[in-house]
Amino acid sequence: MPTTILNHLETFLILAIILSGFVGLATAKNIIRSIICLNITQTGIILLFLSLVYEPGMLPPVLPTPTQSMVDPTPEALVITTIVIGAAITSLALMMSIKIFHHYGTLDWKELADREG
Amino acid sequence: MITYPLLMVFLPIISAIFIYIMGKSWANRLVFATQLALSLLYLQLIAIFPVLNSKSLVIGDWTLQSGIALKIDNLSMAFIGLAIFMWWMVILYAWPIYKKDNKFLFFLLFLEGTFLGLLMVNDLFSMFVFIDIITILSAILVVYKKDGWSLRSGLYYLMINSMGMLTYLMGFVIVYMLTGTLNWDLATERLSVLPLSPSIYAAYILMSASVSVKAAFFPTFNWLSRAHGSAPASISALLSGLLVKGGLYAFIRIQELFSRPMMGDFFFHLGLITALSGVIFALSQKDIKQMLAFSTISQIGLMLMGISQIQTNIYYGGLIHLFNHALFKALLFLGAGILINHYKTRRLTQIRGVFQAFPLLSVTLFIGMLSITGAPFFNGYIGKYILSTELASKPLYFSLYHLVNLGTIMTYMKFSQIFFLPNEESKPFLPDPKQWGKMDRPRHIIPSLILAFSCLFATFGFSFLGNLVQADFPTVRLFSATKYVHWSLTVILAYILTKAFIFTDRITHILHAIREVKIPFYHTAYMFILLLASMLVFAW
Repeated sequence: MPTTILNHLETFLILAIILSGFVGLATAKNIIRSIICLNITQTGIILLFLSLVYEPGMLPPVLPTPTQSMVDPTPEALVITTIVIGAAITSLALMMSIKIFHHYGTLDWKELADREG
Repeated sequence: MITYPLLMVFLPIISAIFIYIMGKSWANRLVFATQLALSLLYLQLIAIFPVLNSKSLVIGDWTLQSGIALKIDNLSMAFIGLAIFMWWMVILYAWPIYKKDNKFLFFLLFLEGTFLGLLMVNDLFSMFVFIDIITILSAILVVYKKDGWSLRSGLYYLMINSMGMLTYLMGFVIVYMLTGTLNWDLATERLSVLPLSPSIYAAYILMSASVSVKAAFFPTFNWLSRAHGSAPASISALLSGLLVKGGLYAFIRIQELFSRPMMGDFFFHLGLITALSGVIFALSQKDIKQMLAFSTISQIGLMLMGISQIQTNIYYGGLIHLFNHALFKALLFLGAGILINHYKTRRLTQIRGVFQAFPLLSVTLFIGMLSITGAPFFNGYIGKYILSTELASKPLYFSLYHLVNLGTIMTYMKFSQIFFLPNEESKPFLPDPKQWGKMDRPRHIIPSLILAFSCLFATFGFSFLGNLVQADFPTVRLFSATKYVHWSLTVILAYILTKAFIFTDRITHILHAIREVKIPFYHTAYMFILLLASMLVFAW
């Protein structure tokens, strides 16, 4: 019984992380903050994925472990790819925001939207 | 058997890398060799298609359960053909401008490989990967000019689309937990036997909401006009003609994944709202490329109305309109690119006398305009015929559909002011009269001519194209008096309304107010969350 409560608590905490990321995306006025919120949301989703496939007592999928007591290895492969893609998007977005700052001297979404041409 | 599809993905990518490393102008010609090889591969695919049809090809010796699988069916076959054709047009257009620029060609070819991959891939995670790579590459191509405006719109595009893909990731986690597989076919099979539960609905909502960002449906469409308006002309044509349809393709696939009718009606109405709002924004624009970009949004709305009703006649109407739209919108964007190059301005009010200066280009632009308005004998007619025939039994939707059509015709009447010579009082830039007619020799506008011909061909050869997409294509009568009368009445009404309102000062302040609506990123994110919430409420 305590483990199930713990499991639920964990899932709720992770959902809270994801939700806070989305709330940040919908409220952050600064480009850098938006990029950070994007990363927070992504990390939350990765945590959700890993915590959902985990069962108590299972070992990490590293080879000497017998396959019966391993957790499902597929999600880990997927998660690594997701992290790589997230890093690519983050670096590209940061690079663009540096250029934008050089160009306009501001990183505020509202001010940038109001600029002409 | 799997060699051909794999080659189609990796050949452009490898030759892109080769072009980038060599950095010599002779190596840049490899673009044409690659395109030629891809076209031959496509012919080969058609030849072996009867064997290949809807068969899962797993890479390596993995099982279907855990391997990466490719699958080619009618839909992906038609999309692959369209993609290779569009890349031909864009490369032909961009070659004189970028033939020394190996970086541009690198990104262009790399994008082709990933897009072809998206069309063939058959598992949930690879689709996520491909869509994200396409987002990254097209964001780089949008900011290619590195001026302030394109940088802003490129960042906007990148942020909104990666935000959308996050919910795809969540939906796909739920599908994986429910079915224990990533393979599209196996997941479809296992989902169809599960009882309809809140988690299936949650997965469906999250996945289709993410695709609705990618394909520019109603509340989150404003990235499209910025990105397509600020990119170089060849990239605008590619984005508007093809890459947006990548989102619609993923939408169709997601509908197939959940196999039972889930929320088709919701998306039908969303399509209607998208079409109406796209028309309103397009009418108010003064920038020639922004106008074309917003008109893309309204046409996407019409396509969504069709493809949301899967396995009905109207679905094929939306699908065929999708293919036709690629042809004429690329034609219009490439033409607009040539005009902007010569006139050095993007404002509709500054471009005049196109008909005198560019007679041949004007003819192709006219073909594009008539096609998008759904004129008889042009290819937009076919999709709009099916849509209006299917909607005829529902008066409310039928009249709203005609309102969209009226708005489209008014938009292009406003667009057509560029063809005429200016009045005495206004003095916009005009090309030298001695140069009239010399700037559009056929060799200068080859892609526009090919696209114009294919627009005309697609009208009469549509049954051939229809067979390529699906065998049971609904009948379309090219000679239908009712449709002709409808179209002519709409044109007359549009002419009167345009004369009365658009070309006078009566509603200038309203149009100005609409044009000045500038939505910052966080409001779009907010509206995305609202879209998710409204889908949840609808599913309840």
